[in-house]
Formats: sequence, structure tokens, C-alpha cells
Amino acid sequence: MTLDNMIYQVLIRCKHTATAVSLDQPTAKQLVNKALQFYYPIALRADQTFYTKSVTIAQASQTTNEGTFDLPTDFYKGLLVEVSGAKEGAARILGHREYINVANNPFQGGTAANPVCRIDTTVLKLRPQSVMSVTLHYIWTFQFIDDETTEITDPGNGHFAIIPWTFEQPVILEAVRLARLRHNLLVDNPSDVSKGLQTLSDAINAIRDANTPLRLYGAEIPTTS
Amino acid sequence: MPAQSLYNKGQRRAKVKTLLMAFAQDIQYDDALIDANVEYARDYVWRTYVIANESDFRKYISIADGASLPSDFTAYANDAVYVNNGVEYPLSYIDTEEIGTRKTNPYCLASNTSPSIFFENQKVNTLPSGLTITLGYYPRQPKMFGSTIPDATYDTMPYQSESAIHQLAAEYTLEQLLPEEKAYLLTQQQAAEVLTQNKAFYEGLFDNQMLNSRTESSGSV
Repeated sequence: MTLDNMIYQVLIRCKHTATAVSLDQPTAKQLVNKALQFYYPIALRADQTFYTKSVTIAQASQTTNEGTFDLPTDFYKGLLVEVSGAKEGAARILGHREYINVANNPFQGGTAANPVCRIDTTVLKLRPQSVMSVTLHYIWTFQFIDDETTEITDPGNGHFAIIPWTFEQPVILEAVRLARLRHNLLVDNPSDVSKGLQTLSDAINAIRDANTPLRLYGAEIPTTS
Repeated sequence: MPAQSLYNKGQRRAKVKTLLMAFAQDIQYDDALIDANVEYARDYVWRTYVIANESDFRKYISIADGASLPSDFTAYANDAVYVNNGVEYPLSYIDTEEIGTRKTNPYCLASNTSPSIFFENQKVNTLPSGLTITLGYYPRQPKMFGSTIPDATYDTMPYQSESAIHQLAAEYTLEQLLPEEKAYLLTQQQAAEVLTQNKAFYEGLFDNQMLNSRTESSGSV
């Protein structure tokens, strides 16, 4: 299902209610995107392989003992850095403190046989500097989707779907819920003040939940939105 | 496989309309919306049935290393086989982190008689590379809405799932008719229900795979 179809699904579900008055297509697009962002970490926990990707990247620059590689723009989290010639076939991904400690100790790593690397915001740093190319296996993510022809839920055929199809209905329902929530906030009625506060607090909770740091292994998949 | 439902897309829609008529006879329901809700209700029931008996819904295809996952792919059934010199060898599933080891470590090197499978780039990947394998997976049921899908389209749901699907689809559709506040609450509740069930689905798949998989029980690698 494309983004266009998804927007359409949200609009027809609001048609018979007052929400339709305040819901236009660009707003619906914003709400679908919010719903997608909300469900991304949940879908990731349900099926990590859906968001696993690999790419071969070339060294961008080097110093006397360290090479730097630019991370892909859709990079979210590194899983494996394959290095040709390395034992175990890969560089160890270390935290920044460990990396500094290990880097200058040839008994621990930083050599062609035992390369080490660290991920710094937008770049990958790797020792030794002689490694000119790596295959990075990583979890990808997406930004605001503006192109309405973007395929959201159908994988295969050589393109990337944005979220597993099992989340198609939850995403639509979440966008509809947001549309209705937004409409409730627009109604300026004293009796709605407490309702408005409640919905605001719901929204804040949702944002907080969605931004809770991920624990990919052994984590519970949240059950409520 | 149990006896299949005799309802096709158009008949399911007619059935849901009949149920809705009992609530509000004057309302003009959109066919497109009912079709969408039939599909989502069907998917909900399907996930329940997969967990109850995954073997009814497992499907096998022949697929080569590097090929895109089939467009109806939902989840790997932990059952993939490579035939080497007339002998079947199950592929062991590996995490991304194990790829390097499996490629280079001489003590656990993937080979034609000990192949591995992993999923990346929404494609099937094998080690050693280049294998054509038989892949078991749980396919999504046929799509039920969209202008290009004829009313004569059938899915493969069991006979006994009919009323659950139709009632759930009617419930999804009724939501449209409620006052704003009630609709909001119901939407929230529906989303939570679907998510809870989705969680049970993915966790259930994992449990099923641990219990039923050919890879785990054959132990031939």
C-alpha cells in the first residue's frame, strides 16, 4: 500500500464524523507520518530482519592510524562491519572509551587481522587505516515521507517497504486517532478542557514511549499505544 | 488443511452489509471501506489461526540467494532446505552478527552440506552464497480491497473462521457512525487490540518455530 492509499484510508474513516471538517490531505499526510514514526520501534522489535540492510562503503579519509567511512543517510544502528582479511571476518564494534583504550594496543586489536571500529554520529572510524572498504550491516530507518507514491507496506520486487504489512491497520488507526484527537483539541468548549488536557497528556506519553531507548535483545514488544 | 470458507470478496462484503443493516438501515456504507475492513478483520483472524496451527498456512517456494522476498512474505517459517547431490540439508538461521564468522572461521564455515540463511535488504541470503533453496514462510492472505481486485477473489481462510471475520469487519465499520468522542475511544481501543494481537502473533511464531521446525528437530547439520 502506498502513502497515497494510506492517506485515503485515513480520510474515508473520518468522513462521517466531525473530524472531516478539519482534516485535509496534507494534514492527513503529517498524521500518517507520525503514526509511522510511532510504530517504527515497535515493528523493529517484532521483526528486526525487516530493517536490516547491508552496504559496501569506501574509505572517505584517513590519518596515520585510522580510516574514516561515511555512514549511509538511513543509518540507525550498526550490527556488523565486515572487513576482508580479518579473523572472524569482521571488525569489532566498540564503545568510544573501549576503542581508545584498545586502539594503541596491538595485543588487543587495531591490526589487519583484528580491526576495531567505532560509530561516531555520521561516520565510522576504523583501525588500521589500511582497510579501504568495508561491508556495513545495519538497521535502517526513515525520515518524513513526502512522496505519496512511496510504497509503505509491500516488500519485494526490489524495493523497500517502510513497515511490515501486519502494521498497516495499526498505522491507519493511529493516524485516525490522531486526527480525532486533533479535532477534540480544536473544539473550544469549557467542558472539553479536561478532555484536552487528557489528550495532551496522552500525546506526551506517546512521544515519551516512542523515544524510550531501544533494547533490541529480549525486549518486550509494547502492547498499547 | 481444514475446509475452506466459501465466501469470496463480494460475498463477504454482502454478509457484512447484512450485519450492519441490523444496526442502522438508513446509512449508506461505502463498499471500499467495508472491503478494507473485511481485509483487516480477516488478517486479524488469520494471525490467530496461524498461531493455533501454523502448518495450515505455511507455504514453500524455490528461491535463489539474493532474490527479493516474495511480495506476500510475512515471516520466515524457520524451514528452508538446500538439496545437494540428492540429499536435503536444512539451512540454519543466523543473526546478522554471525555472518562474518560463518564466512571465515574454519571451525564453523558455511558449506553446501551445512548452509545458513539470513534476511537482509528485504532479500533472501544464503551462505555459502549463490544457493537456490526451498524456503518456507507464512504468506499474507490475498488482498481484498483496491479497485483492481475483483469480487470473485477468494482467500484461504478456514470455514469456521467466517463469522469471526464478518462480525469483526462489521465492528470496524460501525465505528464510522459513532459520535466523535466515542469513535475516538473505539479507535484507540481497536489499535490497542490489534497491537496486542500482533505481539502475540510474532511471539507465537517464535514459539511455534522452536517446537515445530524441521531445522531444530532433524539435527543433521
